[in-house]
Amino acid sequence: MPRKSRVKSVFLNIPYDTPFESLFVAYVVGLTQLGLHINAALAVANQGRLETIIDLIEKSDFSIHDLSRVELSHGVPRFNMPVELGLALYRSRVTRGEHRIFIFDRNRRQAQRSTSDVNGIDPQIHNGTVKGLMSGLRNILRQPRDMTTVPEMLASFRAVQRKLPELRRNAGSKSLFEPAIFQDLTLASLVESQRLIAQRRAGHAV
Amino acid sequence: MITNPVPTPEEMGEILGLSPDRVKAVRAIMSRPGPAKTSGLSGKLFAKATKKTSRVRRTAAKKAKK
Repeated sequence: MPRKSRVKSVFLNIPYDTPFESLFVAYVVGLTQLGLHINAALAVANQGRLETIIDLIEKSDFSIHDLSRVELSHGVPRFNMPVELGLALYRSRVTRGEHRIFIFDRNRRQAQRSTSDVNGIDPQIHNGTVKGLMSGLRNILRQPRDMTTVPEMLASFRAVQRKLPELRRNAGSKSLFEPAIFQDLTLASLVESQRLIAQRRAGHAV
Repeated sequence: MITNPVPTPEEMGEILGLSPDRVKAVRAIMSRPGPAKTSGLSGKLFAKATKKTSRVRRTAAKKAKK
């Protein structure tokens, strides 16, 4: 049966590096489980990076910017995340606030200091933990009939994480930050989501 | 912000332009049972075994100090 409504989409602006892998998987599982399609630059291979990012922001309903790793890397500040936040802020302005922006950070003090110009946007603080991240996502996103809970999201995260080696082998990806494994992670999260929905229905039926 | 109902993997596969076989492959991976336990002991026995080992190590360390 064809789907009645369009799936809303989110532009995800996060660091793509090994220390962030766990939170990356958490973002994919959490956002997918809350009914969203994720637009991320890593999903589009071999394109002009800036053009791709602008296109992705334009076709997204809102964006999430994780500024927890805006720090020095080999002596150079990591400007990519703030640049993409700037592009999204402009998008929000030209759409008169229709494109909404959410900021995630490791702690409140860091968020206030690193991006004082956007202090009007209340950041979600994840403390660098998966649980903190899932709680932040639940703070900003609501589903019809508001069902998915943080423990459910954490259970799905653990289930997907257990299967990472196999998913990675299947996609032939050396890193998690490649288009093929990113797509498979999305599908895996939805498989888990369906399992949860079925469990809930069975629970209600008893 | 209100989102939509969660799409099925097949619906998302279509949105992403993936073949139904790819969706099936991910479904198969997720439905397979997880890796078997490596220790071969039950959780209770494993905890007991590791506790005993650590106690022996502490005693050995104390003796070594004396």
